[in-house]
Amino acid sequence: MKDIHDHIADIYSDTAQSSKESMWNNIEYQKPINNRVWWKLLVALLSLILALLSGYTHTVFQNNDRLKSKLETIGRKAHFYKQQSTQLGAKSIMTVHDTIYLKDTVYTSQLIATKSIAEPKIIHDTIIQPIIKRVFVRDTIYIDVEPMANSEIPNKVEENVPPEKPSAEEYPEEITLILGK
Amino acid sequence: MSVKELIELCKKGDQRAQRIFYDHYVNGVYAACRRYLGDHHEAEDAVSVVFSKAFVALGSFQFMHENGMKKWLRTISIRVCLNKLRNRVEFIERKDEVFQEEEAIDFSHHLREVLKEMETLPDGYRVILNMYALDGFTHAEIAEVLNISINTSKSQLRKARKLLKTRINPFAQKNNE
Repeated sequence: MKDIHDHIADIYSDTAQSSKESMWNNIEYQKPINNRVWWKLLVALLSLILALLSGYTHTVFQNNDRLKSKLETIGRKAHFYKQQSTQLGAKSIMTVHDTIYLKDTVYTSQLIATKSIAEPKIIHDTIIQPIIKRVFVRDTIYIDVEPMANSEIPNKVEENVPPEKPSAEEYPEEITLILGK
Repeated sequence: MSVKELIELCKKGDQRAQRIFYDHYVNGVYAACRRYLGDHHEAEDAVSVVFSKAFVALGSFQFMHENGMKKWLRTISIRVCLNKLRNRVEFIERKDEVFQEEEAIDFSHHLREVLKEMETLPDGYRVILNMYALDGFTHAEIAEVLNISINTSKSQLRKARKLLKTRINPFAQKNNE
């Protein structure tokens, strides 16, 4: 006995039949299941190995260059030290313990660079934890940040005047605004 | 060849069996996708995705009866369509509304006309109307699947039905005013 779905299928059957061949041709999977799945797994595994061998270092250091130049524009000099982690896939955090002057705001901040997050950001301690969970890179990188001598600061940089600390909810937007996404 | 034998061949990757399987179920899958997406071309794309997923997942499917297979394919269809709609459907939360049980739309009459009008409903209305009225989801289940509140689900359903009734019967609009 036909149910409502059968009736609806009948109503649309002419349209469905007219497109039947093109829909069939667009079905991705038309090969024996086992071969297809094994090939996908093999390709995924090889991609993963290649990424682990080559990808992370490049990405992290590409990001570090940008971070470095951004820090210089606010009058800070960054030194990067890379250290191989002991465990593959370990969480990797760059830490900075320093007071950084950002535009009109003073933060005691930590720096994080990851592959999963598009580029390094300066992030306040209070919001660091949720982000650490997403981190999955191979190298551990330590950064020292020190004040630059006045002569080293680019001319275009505004004078760093320590202002009042903003409220907690202002941190992410303001930081993103300054350092970009 | 029985449906059970056909499915066993499909599981082994027999392409001829897959084609027979596709021919047998394509109308139902297309209808489900069309109901949710309200558009022929989008439904076409969705059908291909549904069968791609079905052929891969068939290995874990335990065939009991024909209706079970139809329902299984319909479930995959709904998931595929909801994924396509996820980024474009917005549900507005209304927490202060009081809901009353409404008279259900009688789908047995003028089914073709009702389906045609359903395609013109806003995505959110159409999805919830389909899920609740045709696919037997409860408001609690809809709320969970769509990540909305139960009240929002009820509200959208009520508005969808009201709008649909108005469109099917233009005289109802005058009575409502």
